[in-house]
Amino acid sequence: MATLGNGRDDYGSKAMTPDVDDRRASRTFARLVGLGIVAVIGILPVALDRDSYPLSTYPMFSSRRTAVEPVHTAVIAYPDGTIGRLSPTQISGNDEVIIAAQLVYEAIRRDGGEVLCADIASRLSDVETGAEVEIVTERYDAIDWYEGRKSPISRVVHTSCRVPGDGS
Amino acid sequence: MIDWMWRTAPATRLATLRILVGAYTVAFMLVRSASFWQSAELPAWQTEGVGILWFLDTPWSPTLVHLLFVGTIALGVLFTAGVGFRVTGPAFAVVFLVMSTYRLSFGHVIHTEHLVALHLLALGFSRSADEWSFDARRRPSLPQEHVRYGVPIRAMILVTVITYVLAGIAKVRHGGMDWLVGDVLRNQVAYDNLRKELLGSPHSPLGGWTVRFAWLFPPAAVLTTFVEIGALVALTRFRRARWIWAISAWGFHVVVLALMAISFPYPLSFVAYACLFDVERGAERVIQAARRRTGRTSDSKRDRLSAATSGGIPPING
Repeated sequence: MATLGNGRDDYGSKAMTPDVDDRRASRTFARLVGLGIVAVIGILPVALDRDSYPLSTYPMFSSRRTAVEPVHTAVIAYPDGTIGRLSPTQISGNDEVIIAAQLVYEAIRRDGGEVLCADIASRLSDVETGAEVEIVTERYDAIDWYEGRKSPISRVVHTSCRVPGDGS
Repeated sequence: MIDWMWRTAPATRLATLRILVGAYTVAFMLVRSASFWQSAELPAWQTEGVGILWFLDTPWSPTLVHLLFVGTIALGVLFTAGVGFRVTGPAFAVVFLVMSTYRLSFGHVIHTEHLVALHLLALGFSRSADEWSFDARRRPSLPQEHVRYGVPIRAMILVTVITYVLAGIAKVRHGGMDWLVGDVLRNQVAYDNLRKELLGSPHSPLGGWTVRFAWLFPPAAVLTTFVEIGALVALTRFRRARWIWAISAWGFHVVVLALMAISFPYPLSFVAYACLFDVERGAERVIQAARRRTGRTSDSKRDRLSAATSGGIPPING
C-alpha cells in the first residue's frame, strides 16, 4: 500500500497530498491509467501472441535458433564465376538488413524472386558486363563459419537475371 | 501497490523528460533519415500494415511520406521547445507513431522505436510543457508539485518495465530451458552475424570470434533474462536498485551492440531510463552553472520561484 502522507520516496516524488482538491478523482484516474497500461501494453500482446507496433511481445532473439538456418539473399554472379555480396540498400532500397532479408524471403514465396531480381538488376549500374543477379537461399552452419569452415551446406538459386546496360 | 501510480512530481521533472525524449527523437530521425526517407520507395507488393495502420495494403505516395517525415521533425522541435504544446504535444506523439508505423509496414517489425513511441504518448498527452518551455514563459506563477506531473512519469516507468519483462518472458516462453542453458543464444549471435555478412551489411567481428567459446553463452543467457525480468526492481522505491538495474540494462544493450552489431539507440542513449530518476536536479545544476558562467544571478524564473515559495507553495526541489 502506498504512503498517502507527505513523505517522499526515492524518486523524489511525494504521495498525493491530502489537501489537493481533486484528490479522489486523481486517485481514480491514476489507478485507471496504471491498470490500462498493464492491460494494453502488458497483457493484450501476450494474450493475442502478436508482435506489432507499438504493442509487442518483444520476441527478438527468443526463437529456438539452431546453428544451421536458411539465409535468403541476393548476390551478384560475375562472368568469371565469383560471387559478390549486395548491400541491403542495393537489395531493397532501404538500409535495414532485416527489411532486406524479409523482402527476399517474401519475393521467393511470391514469384520465385523474379520481380525482385529485375528490380535489383535495374538498380545496379556499376557492375561489369555479363554479371547476373541471383536470388538465392543459402544454408551454412553458422558456428562452423566462424570456426573457419565456410562451405555452404546447400545453395539454391531461385532465379537469376542479367544486369542491363554496358556496365560502364 | 494499487496507488503506486498516484504520485506527485515537480513540473520540472516532467519538463526535463520532455526535452530529453523530444531531443532524442528528433536526433534519431535525423540520423536515420535515409531509412525514413527510403520507406517511400519500398515495393508496393510488400506493404503489410501493422499497428494503427493495420488496414494499409498499398503504399502512400512518396510526396506524402516525405512531407510527413519533414512535418514530424518540425513538430518534434516544437515539442522539445514546448511551443504551442496543447497542440504540438499530442500531435508530435501521434505523428511520430504514424511515421514510424509506416516505416515498419513492409514485412518486418523491428523493435527500436516501441519504447520511445510509448514514452512520447505519455509526454505528449500530459502537461509536460508547464515548465522549461516557450509556453511557460507566459505563466505568472511556478506550478507546484502535482499528481498531473507524477502520473505521466510513473506511466513511463511502468511502460519501460513492462517492455523489458515481456522480452524476458518471451525468451523463456519461446526458447524454454534451451535458451537459458543450451546453445540457443550462441546460435543467435552466430546466425545474426552470418546473415549480415551474407546480406552485405556491417557485422560484428567480435561476435563471430566469441561464438568459438561455447561456455560463455549459458551464463550470458541467464544474465540476459535476469536483467530483463529484473526490470521489476525499477518499480521499487530503492534508488540504488534502480541505478543498478538501469546500468545493467544499458550494459546489456552495449554487449548486444558489440556482439551482434544491433543498436537499440534509445536505451543506449540512456534517455530511456531517465524517467527512473530525479533528472530535473541535473538539469537545474546545468542551468545554474550556465548562469554562473554568464554572470546572471537572478532572472524572472528565480523571481517566480521566490514568489511561489513565499506564497506557501512547496518549493520545487525534487
